[in-house]
Amino acid sequence: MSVKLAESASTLLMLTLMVCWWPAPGVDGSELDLGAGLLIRGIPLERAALYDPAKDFVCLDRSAKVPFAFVNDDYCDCADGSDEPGTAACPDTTFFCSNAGHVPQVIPSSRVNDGICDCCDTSDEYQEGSSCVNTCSLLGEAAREHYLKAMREHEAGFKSRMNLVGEANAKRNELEAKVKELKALRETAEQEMRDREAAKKEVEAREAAALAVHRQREEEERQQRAEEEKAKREEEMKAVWQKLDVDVDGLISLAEVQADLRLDQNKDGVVSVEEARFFVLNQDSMTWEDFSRTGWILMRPYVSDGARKPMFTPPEADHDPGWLLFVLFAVGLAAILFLCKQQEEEEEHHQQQEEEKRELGQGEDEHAEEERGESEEEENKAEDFQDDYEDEVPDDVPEPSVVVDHGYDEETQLLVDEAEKARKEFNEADRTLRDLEHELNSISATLEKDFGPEDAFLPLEGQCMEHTDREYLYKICWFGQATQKPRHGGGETKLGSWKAWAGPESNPHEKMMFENGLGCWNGPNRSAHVHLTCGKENRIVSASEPSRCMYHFDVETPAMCAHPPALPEASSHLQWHEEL
Amino acid sequence: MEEKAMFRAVIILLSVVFPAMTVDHSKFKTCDQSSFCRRNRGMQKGMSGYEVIQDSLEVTDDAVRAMLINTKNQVEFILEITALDKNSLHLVINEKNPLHPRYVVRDALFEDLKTIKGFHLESKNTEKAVVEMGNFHPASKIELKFKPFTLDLYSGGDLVISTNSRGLFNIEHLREKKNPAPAVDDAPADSEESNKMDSDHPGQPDEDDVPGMWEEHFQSHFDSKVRGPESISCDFSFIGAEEVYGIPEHADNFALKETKSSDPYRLYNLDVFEYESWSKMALYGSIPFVVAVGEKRSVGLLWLNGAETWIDVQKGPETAVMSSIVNLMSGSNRRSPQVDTHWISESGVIDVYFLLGPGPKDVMSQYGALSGNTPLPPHFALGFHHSRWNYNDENDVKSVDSRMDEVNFPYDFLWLDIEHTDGKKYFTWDAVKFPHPKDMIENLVSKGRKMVTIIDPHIKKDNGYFVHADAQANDLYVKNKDGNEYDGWCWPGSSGYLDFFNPKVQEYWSQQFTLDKYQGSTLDLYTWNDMNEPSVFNGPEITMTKDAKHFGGWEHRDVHNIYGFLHVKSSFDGHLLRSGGKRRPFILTRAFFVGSQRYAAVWTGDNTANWDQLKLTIPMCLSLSISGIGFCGADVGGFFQNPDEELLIRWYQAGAFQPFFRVHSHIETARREPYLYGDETRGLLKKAVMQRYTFMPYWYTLFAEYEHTGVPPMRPLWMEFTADGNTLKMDDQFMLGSALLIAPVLDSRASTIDIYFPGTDAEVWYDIDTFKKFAKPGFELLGVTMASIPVYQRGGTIVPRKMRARRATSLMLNDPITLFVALDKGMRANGTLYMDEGDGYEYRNGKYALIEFSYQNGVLNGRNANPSGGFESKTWLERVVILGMKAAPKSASIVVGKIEEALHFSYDIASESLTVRKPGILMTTSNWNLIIG
Repeated sequence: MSVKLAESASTLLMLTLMVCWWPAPGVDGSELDLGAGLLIRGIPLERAALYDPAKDFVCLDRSAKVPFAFVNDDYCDCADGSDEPGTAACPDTTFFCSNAGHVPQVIPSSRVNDGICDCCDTSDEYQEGSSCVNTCSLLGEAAREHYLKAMREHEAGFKSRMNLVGEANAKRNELEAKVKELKALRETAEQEMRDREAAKKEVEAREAAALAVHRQREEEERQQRAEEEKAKREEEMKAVWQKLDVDVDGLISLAEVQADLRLDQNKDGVVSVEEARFFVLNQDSMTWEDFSRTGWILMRPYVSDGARKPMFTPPEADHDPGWLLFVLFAVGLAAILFLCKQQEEEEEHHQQQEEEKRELGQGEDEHAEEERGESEEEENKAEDFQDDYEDEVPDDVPEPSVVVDHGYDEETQLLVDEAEKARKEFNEADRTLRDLEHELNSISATLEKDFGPEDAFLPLEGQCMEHTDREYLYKICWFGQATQKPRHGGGETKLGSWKAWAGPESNPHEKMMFENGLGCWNGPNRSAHVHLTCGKENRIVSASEPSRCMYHFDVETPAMCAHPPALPEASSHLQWHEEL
Repeated sequence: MEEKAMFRAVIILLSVVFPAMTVDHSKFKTCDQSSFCRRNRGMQKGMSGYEVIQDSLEVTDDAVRAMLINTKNQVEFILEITALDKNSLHLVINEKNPLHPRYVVRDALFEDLKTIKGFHLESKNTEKAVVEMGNFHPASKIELKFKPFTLDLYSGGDLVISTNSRGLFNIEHLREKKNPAPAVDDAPADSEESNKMDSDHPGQPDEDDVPGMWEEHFQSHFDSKVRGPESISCDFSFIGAEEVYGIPEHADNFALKETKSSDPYRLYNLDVFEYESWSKMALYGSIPFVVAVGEKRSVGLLWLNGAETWIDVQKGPETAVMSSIVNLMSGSNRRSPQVDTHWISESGVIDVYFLLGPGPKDVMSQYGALSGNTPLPPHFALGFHHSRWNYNDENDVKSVDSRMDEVNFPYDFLWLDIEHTDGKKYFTWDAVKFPHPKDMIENLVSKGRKMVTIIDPHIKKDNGYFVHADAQANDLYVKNKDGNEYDGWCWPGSSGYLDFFNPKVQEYWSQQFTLDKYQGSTLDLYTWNDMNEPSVFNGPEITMTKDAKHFGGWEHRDVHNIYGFLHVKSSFDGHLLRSGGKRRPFILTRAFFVGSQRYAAVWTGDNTANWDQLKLTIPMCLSLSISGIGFCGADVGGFFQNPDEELLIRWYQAGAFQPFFRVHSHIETARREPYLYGDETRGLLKKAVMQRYTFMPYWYTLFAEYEHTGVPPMRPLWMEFTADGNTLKMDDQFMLGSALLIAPVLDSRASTIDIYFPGTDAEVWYDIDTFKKFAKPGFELLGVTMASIPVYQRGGTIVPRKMRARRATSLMLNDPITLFVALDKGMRANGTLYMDEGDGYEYRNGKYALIEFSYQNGVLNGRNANPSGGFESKTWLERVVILGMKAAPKSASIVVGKIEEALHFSYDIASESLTVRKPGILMTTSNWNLIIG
């Protein structure tokens, strides 16, 4: 089966009169004479030993063994493509160009002899008619310059980063110290709170007993008043009955009704039969039973002393617990609304302040921390609103005693006042404790946050960067928000809040995700990816919106300038240094 | 930004009113809301009352002529039948003395239509005349019945098409408007109300007195209809046909459905926002052409009309009782097949072409002879296109290009949508985002790639815009009914619409493409014609009002469906003009009409990212393919909404085997460039594109053949397997050429696919990846993975491929060929390879190679059928893979002339495949043999 293909094939072609292009080994396919012996095209020097012209070639995956003439003969024999490192014959393989004077390069084999100069040393385009020119020294020069510049930038960035790391260290220590201090304070505050709680409970117990007595008395009084009312009403009713039932037959007849001119509904001076029938429930007469149940109610507006009063008086305010609750509820609701509004305003105000401060160059760490503490506290406040509400209502809503005179006796009143004082003191102690806990939590949250290797990003928290393009002013605040604002008027749009590091596993801190920005009309909420690279200062290099409402930022920061400055591949580094 | 905001506002409004993502039906007319459709569809069968005036019949060698009379009103018509080469008849019926001329479609058909002679009167009596056409194969007969007028066409002795056998023929003669106008005119022509009115006047005392005849309202739009009623209608029955196909464009199954319980199919070029699946609603383009397919023969019918058209379809003869009794008696329970169609157009004349086949490919050739074949596109246009609305600026373009290269993902074209322009003024660039367009294009070209910009027909009414200034100065715009400039709202806001019916406008438009005119363009910048229905955001049904006036005084109603065709034609001429006829144009259009294939590829418009719309790509492109437009594709991934990775992968896989292969998406979607996906998904996407690339020689050969034969590359199964009735309703598989069966996975989470292997048990099929053999016809349930693209090579075929997929197809022109020889049961195979320079027109001077391959008796012969063409190529024969080889051969050698050379080979017993290593000869070698010993 095997033939000396190269030789005989070229004979064949020479003999035929056709113009024929033949990718014959040795002519333009496999080997390069680089002066330092034979080098197989498309592989780096260090792999040359794998290709021994003296032997048959065994595919590197050992899938086949072929005559050495099959290496780089522009036909794919090995499953792994290892017989064709220098041609485009095999799929999914690579071609190495040494690019003397510049950086070596590995390109997909599919770019070999495709008419496009990929390697600056032209080694990928060796077929007849190629017009590639060696540009390695030119490119190398430019690359070196670029590289040196990048190195300088990196050096500077690295220095800044060391400062950042220093600051971060100090900050962390400071925060940890603060945590200790706060924990101690918390202990004291807890004790204080417990003491106050006990005191409050004690006095409240006595107050409750006194109030129970007071309420018992009140209840009795109320019942007595109600009975008196009832008796009075019945008396009035009876009086009317007696007046009407002239013949005292136990019935009120039509005639009897007609005789009483107070019942002249239409005021024509006569009580007509119809008018009368109305009062006796459309009968000819009515009994006491009918009268007391219904007739009286119909007549009362005309005959009673209090005729122009509303028929039913509302329950008396100070005795109805439902009504009291209603008032409490309404006042409470107003309080909630007020608080919400205030919080919003505070937040807005807060942001403004922050911005102003930053603009004035006051964005010092302490300030930043305070601000942060406050804002987080407010966030917590919002979350714990339910609790706060319950606690705060007694504080902020006037006590019922102020609204209504309870008419306590002196002794009870003293007890109530004492209990009130104990409650206030307890609330104060409780508030102090919670404030401490909020602060502790917020610092702990900061301490637990991932600020990258050596905490290099920690000092950046709360700082912001701005960038302007043709249409928008963009702003990114580290671990805060990303926003955009039209340059020529219009409000600020939130692009997202800091969500997480989103870089690849190998380098999670090279990318930040900002999520949950303002919603888009027909899509998701806005979001932003921020890609970080090393630079000597913090700045937004570019802002774009590759898909609607999905933003992309490139940001430079010293925090990314890790030590030692990253170098290109070792070999090229050496090469460059040799030439430098 | 203002117009963007406005557009958004409109969309927001829409989305509030119609929260579901689907078409807004109320924006588009039903037949009932279109008065002419309502009038004609409401006609009773056999009521048309048209008769042939016996004495008027005149049969000459080259034509059949006669007069018709409408017995209800004595209006007379002229009928003429002529014959065209390749078994086609042309029927024209026009008013004898119209009040003013009726519109006759021009431009659409091929310029050099050749009529042939050969009619002679065979017999005539008082009932009918029979005319023979001897020059047809098989011989044909025309039977013209007088009372009522009926035209029956016989081919080879069988009745194949019957005209007006259901008596629905109708031409509303042109008439003066009577005064005073009937009071009912003011009634909105709104379906039920008007219908009621019709039925309220059962006697119909005056046929001119029908609502909607003289004016019509639709929503807030008013149509003045100064010419009154002028519609035409006719029924055609296809005797012996099982199914009819065609009349694109509809998002529906390939085989036309019956319309008894729905609206008719509608042809009216419309920009439909989020069109819905499986619907007969009109879409962006119109080709009033059907192919009727039966067991014995296939025929075609072209209803040449550019006005709004509705088509009813129903199956089976209407008097089926008799035949079913006959069937019952004879023991056959098979009905005699027949499909009836009813065509209704708003204006024009009866202008019909009957294509008598007899085979489906004959019908394709006949239609190609009529409307022109698709010219061979530039080679690279058959590659892979990537687009989005929008690549934002030059940096974006650069970054997309380099990121594709970073992951070594091949592509050929990058597309720029409307945002690249300066304020939606076409032929301009946004000076800030695209300050250096030539450098940008050059950067792509340096890697073998090309670019496309969008050029729409609406012109921003901005005095600083030169096109607008020119249009006003030279009177190039469409007019409204009062003769003033028509004004419509589109992307730029207030816009004028160039009147492409004016030859001056066509010429002007062409000139805008010259490199000195179109600043920043180069010969490597190609064109995308969108919105050319035309789309008018504030017009009735999102298009131009029907009483707008075109060149020559024609109303828009007469020519609506042709507008986009002429837009594209003018762009095509522009491409030719700019290169001095040296380069092949490449244009993509959304609107189309009969003949658009001569100028542009077509995509199926603004589809949506869902599985139904993936499925629809096949029937939609098959409908286009059999209607002349074989260079068809759909937005891969779906235009609206975001496809998940599975859908995107499956869409790439299906798209890789459809003629026009482009990813495109809406501005509100997330980016979907392949480098954005993880290795696994990206790998699968790349594999699909690489598959496409390896088949480039086959694609190019198919398109070269297409230009000559009119037989489209993408074919319904029945085009290759006419005798297999099971294939008639299939539109989830198709044939690519005659060699490849394509059955892409179209269902989510599919783990199996039911493949139908068509034909008889003479057939054998080979999986193109595993070479596994399938020798039994019928369904076969096969397992699939996410990597599967079920494609099978038919035994008996030879497919040329280039297995080295480069980063762009233009870089593969000189790469070597691998031949896949799939043996049939007789151990034979045939195939062809067409090669030329890939661009330019030298091939029309013979500079090409057409290599014919045949394999039999263990010898593969290759023969350049055009050895003297002067085409040279470095492309050589890299390997030959023979499928279905039952045993390992002893030897393999290549023989050229007297020289014989032994070759290495390897045989794989499991897949019964033989791979012959490196025959090495140039593909242009005039004659060679590969001998398997």
